[in-house]
Amino acid sequence: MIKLFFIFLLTVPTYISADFIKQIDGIKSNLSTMEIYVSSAAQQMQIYTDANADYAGVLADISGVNSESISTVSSSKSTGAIYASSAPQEQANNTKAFANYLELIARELDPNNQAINEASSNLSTSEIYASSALQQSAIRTLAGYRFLKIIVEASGGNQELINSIESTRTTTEIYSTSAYHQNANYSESTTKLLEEYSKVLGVDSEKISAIMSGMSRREIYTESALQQVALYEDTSSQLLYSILETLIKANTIQ
Amino acid sequence: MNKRFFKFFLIFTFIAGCAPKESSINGDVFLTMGDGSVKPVAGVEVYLFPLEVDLDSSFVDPLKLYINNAKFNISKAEVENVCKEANEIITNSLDQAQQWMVDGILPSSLELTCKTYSDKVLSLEDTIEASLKDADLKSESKRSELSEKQDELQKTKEAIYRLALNEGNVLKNAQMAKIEYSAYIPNKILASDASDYKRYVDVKVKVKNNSDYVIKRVNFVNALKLGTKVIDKDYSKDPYLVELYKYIDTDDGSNSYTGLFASTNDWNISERNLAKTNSYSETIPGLALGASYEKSLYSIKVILNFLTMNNRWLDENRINIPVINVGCKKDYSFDPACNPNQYVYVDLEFPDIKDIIFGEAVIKEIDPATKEVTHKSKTVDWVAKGRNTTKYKNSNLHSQLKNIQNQIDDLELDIKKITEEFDIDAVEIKREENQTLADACNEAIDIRDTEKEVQECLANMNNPDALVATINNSKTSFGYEIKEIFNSVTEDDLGYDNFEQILNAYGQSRNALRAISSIQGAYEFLEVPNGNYVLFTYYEDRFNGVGHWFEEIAVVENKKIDLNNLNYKKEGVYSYLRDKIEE
Repeated sequence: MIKLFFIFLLTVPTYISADFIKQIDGIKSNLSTMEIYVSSAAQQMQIYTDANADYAGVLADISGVNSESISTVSSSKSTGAIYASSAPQEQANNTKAFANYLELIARELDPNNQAINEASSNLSTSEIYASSALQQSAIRTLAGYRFLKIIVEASGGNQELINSIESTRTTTEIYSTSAYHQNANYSESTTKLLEEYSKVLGVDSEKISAIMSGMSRREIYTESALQQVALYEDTSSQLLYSILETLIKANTIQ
Repeated sequence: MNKRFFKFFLIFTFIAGCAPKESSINGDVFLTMGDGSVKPVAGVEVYLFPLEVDLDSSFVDPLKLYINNAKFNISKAEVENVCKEANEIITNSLDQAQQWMVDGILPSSLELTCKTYSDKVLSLEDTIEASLKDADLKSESKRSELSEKQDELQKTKEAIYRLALNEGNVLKNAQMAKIEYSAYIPNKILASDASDYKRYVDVKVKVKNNSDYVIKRVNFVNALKLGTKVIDKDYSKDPYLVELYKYIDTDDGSNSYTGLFASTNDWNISERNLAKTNSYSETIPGLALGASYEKSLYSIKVILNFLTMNNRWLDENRINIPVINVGCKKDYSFDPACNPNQYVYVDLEFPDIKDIIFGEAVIKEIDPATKEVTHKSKTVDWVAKGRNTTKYKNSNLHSQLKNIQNQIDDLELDIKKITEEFDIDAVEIKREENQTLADACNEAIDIRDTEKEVQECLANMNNPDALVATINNSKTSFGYEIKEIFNSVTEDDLGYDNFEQILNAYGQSRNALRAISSIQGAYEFLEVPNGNYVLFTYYEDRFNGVGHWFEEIAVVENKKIDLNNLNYKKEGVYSYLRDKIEE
């Protein structure tokens, strides 16, 4: 009798954990490889926003967002990438995925927050009027920023600091004369929020300082709004990696 | 009094001495995480399985029995149905096996009968093989000659195709030579403060169709030239071209963001480019005879202050890089002044045409059902045109091919005659007859054994051991079907997500001792009879997957056993028990 049933026992699966560290290292290594080949700010924006969208996907997974919702965003991003024929179009596709992932996280952390629906509806309305990939990118980055703001607030971020980032963003908006400038403004605000988020989640303060001072140093040499966006997205990328690394370390058995 | 007290003392000592000794087991379940924080494992079931003898006989074997019984119970209803159905079908099957019956039953000696037929089949196969060998030997020279002729035939066919292809290419090249192709860079004037994104010039290509066909597509060589240097997608292999590329590639213009030589940036005038729409909004494909088409094919970077830029590589190579000036203007009075040579671009040779796809004259087609009109131009088949040439038609290759084919037919006939001398077909018929008998005989064995197994199955439906023994020993198709049913039962059917849950259920079924860890991860077993035990619990989360503690312990006194990183196994308990269960 026992002999017959051996085959059954073999079918019992072993639960396989999501290997988060492998995922974020994969994104980082892919980004490093791409960095070698890109030569323009437009291409830089494309690869950093791509990595940031992927990091946001992992963050959504870690935050407990259901895998079906994550897959929907991920497959929509992949499909969008196939049809994108220029760096701005790819960037717009990436910022869309980034905002979508952050919306999922915000809904997971603070499901009844009315601001989520407002940000989502604002984005849908603005999408109708966006006439270029760059404009699309700008409104999607703004939506991403708004969802991130909800996330940082729900995670116990310093409200005063969050308000000050929001106020700077609103003031700068008045002087933004092009989609390039809008992109730069929203990306900068997102980076600042990510800095606060990383502090809340206990990322090593020396590491945060190093990333942020690197950004300030390089900021002096940027000549265009496009270069600024690339710099902010690059910094956001580093912050997101540190946030994820810290979260994973705190939840992984020694 | 003393005597009574002594008796009582003896009885008490005896009872106390025989009573089983008990101890308490407690401890904490916790894990230290990567950042040094300690996480209590709260609310998990901790089991203490008694080991009366040893791990194998007291834990593993009953576990196997537990799982097997669970699976048997799930598949029992289905097995019963199959047995009943087989019982009904088997009567008809017995009728089919009449020829093998002796006194109305299928005898147990049927195997011997079947073997006689199988042996005969093998013997006839040997005969056929030997005859084929002999026939091959006798016809060896003919076959060798046949093989040579077949090679010759193939080569001649290839030569005929090549002739058509070459003649077709001659015709195509003549048409390509008639195409008028030019390329140029239109004059451009840039504002003195033009941003990086406006600093480029478009390279335009123009083709005029002077050929006798419609042009459906023009492909250009994806490469540029500077003197003897060819700049294409492999430019990164040459350090000089890598530097030069920085001064020609632009992020905007026709090759927007993809790079000049990106694999996705194919330089062509496509069929869509060339298609036109008539007054009825119908699409007319291709570039018509005598018509022209112009297109921006790619863009070249306009370099700011190229001649004055302070750069070591430029200083050393500038003299060898020809450049052309681009106009500069001030849009407003407050704009910066234009410098001489402020804007230039590198003067490169334009790309050549690589290929042209020609189409036949456009024809109009009307869908009889919808009356929809479509215009089509069939791509010119140059090989077919090559076949129409006099050179092709007059070639002696055609008669050569015919001769070779005749020779092959003769040789094949000769070989067939030699093979027929050995009468292989008659032996093959005998082999097939015996094979049919052997198959039918083996089927009769299957029917005979199935009938027996079906009866055993129905009789032992409530006796798992006997039924499984029957199925284990079965060699029939019926037994195979029952095995498939058992095999199809999965852990999902048992209602568990993982093996650890099965162990917990097993623990409950065996009345193993169970404790639930507190919110701080503490657990405790009180009054545990001394002896050997397995202490088991597991931990699972999305970061670490499933891991377990499985400690064989001897309880002889009160003991504190912590379950922590030191004794934690970072894998499912099944991976630990697999070898034992599969023994």
